[in-house]
Amino acid sequence: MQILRRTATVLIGPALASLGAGCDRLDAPAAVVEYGVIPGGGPGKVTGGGQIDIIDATGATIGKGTFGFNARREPGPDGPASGHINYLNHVTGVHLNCEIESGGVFSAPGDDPGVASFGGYECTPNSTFSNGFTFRVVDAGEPGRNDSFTITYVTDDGATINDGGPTIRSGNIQVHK
Amino acid sequence: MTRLGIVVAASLGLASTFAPARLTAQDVGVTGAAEATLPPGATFNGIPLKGLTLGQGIFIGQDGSAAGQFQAVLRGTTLLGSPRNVVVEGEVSNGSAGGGTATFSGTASVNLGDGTLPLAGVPFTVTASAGSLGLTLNGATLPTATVSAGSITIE
Repeated sequence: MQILRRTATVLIGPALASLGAGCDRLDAPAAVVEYGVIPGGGPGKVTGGGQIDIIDATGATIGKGTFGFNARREPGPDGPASGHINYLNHVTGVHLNCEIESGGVFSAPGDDPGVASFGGYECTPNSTFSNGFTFRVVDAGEPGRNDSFTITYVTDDGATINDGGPTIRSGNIQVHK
Repeated sequence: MTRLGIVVAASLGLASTFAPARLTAQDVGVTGAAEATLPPGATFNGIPLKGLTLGQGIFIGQDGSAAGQFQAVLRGTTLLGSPRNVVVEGEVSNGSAGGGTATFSGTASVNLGDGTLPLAGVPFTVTASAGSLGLTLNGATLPTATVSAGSITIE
């Protein structure tokens, strides 16, 4: 687990306008750090379930995290993204149960590996944080061989947390053709 | 054509244009990242089990098809008391959902955690709700596991 403590890029205005979702957030003060908006990406459907290593600042594996998600991006330049992600860090107890609201597939159909990134900022009340998140997945082989999952989320005190190593510990990620 | 007619025609046109996407949007999504406990006495392949962790992400179509992944680590102990985990990595191919419950099935790779090669093509069925999960693996039905941390979402 890495605590980066940096300022997030503010993308909320134009990106949300194009998404047409969550526009109440446009009323938020300009200084508010917003995570969870992934510009670009193409249509497609992505699913995954498995575990990642939780790595500390020295690079040592100190435990595991479990993830499960489904995500889709509809066709068209402004095609909406939707889906859901559940994530549980078994070391810290951080739990995210959140809607996917932006993002898409960033590889061309048939590309190997397939790459996708999604994000959002609406999480259920039983989530540890609800300040925005993004996650990036790489579907590099079957079944799950060399796939990767990394998730970034913002804590209530503004810290940015990245969980995930270079490859998943077990499970599989599938960028559906 | 009146303005209302134009609007209606345009709406119908858009509706037909987006019809396939709407069908896709009607898929049921099942996700989860959780720890769950098993009642005393639960075993698999002779291994006493205490609980499991699960990570799952699935789309279930209205026609009974499904696509996604189910991954679980069954947390057990050997007869000598040392930890022994069984890792299940499943690809989901069929499913149904309703009333807050989803049932899906497929085939899995099962690593028994004893140093032997993982078993391939093992059939499995999962019945999941927000607070519980039932797993049948290779014909063996485990007692229902109760979610103790994390969550399962069906929407």
